[in-house]
Amino acid sequence: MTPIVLNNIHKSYGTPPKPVLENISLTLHPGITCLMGPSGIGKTTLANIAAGLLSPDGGTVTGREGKKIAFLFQEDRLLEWETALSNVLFVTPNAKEFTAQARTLLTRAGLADAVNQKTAELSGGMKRRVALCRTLITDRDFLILDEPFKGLDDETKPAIIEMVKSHISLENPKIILCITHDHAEAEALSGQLIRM
Amino acid sequence: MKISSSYRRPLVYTLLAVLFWLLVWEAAAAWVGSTVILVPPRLAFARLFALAQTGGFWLSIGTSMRRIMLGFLLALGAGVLIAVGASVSRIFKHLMLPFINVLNAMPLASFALLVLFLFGSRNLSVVVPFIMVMPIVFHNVYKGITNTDPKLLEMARVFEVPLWKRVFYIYAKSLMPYLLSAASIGIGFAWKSGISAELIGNVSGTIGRELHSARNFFLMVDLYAWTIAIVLLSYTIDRVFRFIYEKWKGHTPS
Repeated sequence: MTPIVLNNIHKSYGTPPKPVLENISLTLHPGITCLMGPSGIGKTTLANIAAGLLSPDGGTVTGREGKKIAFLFQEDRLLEWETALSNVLFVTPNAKEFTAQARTLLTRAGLADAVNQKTAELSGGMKRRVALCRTLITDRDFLILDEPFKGLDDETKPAIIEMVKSHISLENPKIILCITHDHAEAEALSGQLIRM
Repeated sequence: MKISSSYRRPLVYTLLAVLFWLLVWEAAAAWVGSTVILVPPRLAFARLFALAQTGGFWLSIGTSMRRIMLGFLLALGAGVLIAVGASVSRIFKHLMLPFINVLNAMPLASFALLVLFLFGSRNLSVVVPFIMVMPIVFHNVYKGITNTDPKLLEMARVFEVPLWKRVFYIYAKSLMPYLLSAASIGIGFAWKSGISAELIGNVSGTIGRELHSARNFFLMVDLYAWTIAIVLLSYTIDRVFRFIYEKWKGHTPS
């Protein structure tokens, strides 16, 4: 799998333009890359540019062509009126075909009892896990996880980190860009670490 | 199952309020002392009861209701389609807006007369409610579509979710409250405008015709009885829509 290369990325916001990203270059190889840095430094902006949701003011992104993308946004972006299962199946091409897999994922995430519960009724941490299951359900080449463990307690977190780690293998290479400001999370994911 | 007393209380208050105004009406009629000027409620209700036992009464109600409801449902369909078109194409939106604004501003009487000449009296109570309700539906549904959460749409786009799924799961959820609210307002408009159009066009076999005859022959008791029938029907239809809306709202936490 070809890496995704971000080259000399510039991005500014507001009038007069206030630069958020200046001359940022980054190569995302298959495997996990953790992007670390304090809040407001432009991590999410960079992830949006990498995903093609935002155009840079300057610089190029190559290697994204033909890759299927999954994005765990900073907000859960769930269909609150639908069940946890429906939310996971929402992004699959065939609900019937993926139902068993979705149930397995939700069970692994500790949500076996919440499968048929409307997401509006779930706690913040449970919603986060549903959103993560939705990101992992289909076979995508490039996964962007923006603060994937936000709101998870210390007991739940290790299992969820394992879920993310086990999602990639030699037979099934993927590029995973994980944004976090927690050093312990980045270490636990044991991938490439980039500080902004 | 526990039934909250807050559900019962408003009904009691409503009934008491209705009773109060009926008594005021009865007292005013007794004070006026002329059934040509003000018919007492007991006479109006007695006449309504007598009318309800004739086939013609139900036939008129059936004919008016069928035509007005057809106009209303066509307005719902057209309003939704035009709103979808306007949200997809800016050119279509700019093309439709003046037309809809003209329909909005046009007085019912002049419109009813125009329709009478163009389409004849038979379709008057289909076309007029359609014209009155369609702009309401359009504006509401368009607002519902444009207020759809852009973050959910972005999520669906990233995951390459097909259009039908986005429409069914995201857009429909967003615009349903707007559509139901438009329907609830529109049904009252349809009913009032439809009967007024029938009255203007003197359309045979309809409620409007009955009102027309009552006015021509000074049958004041009949005029009151028919008016009560219209109010009761309008109220019932509005309640049905509100019931559907509340039920739908209860099923979907926002």
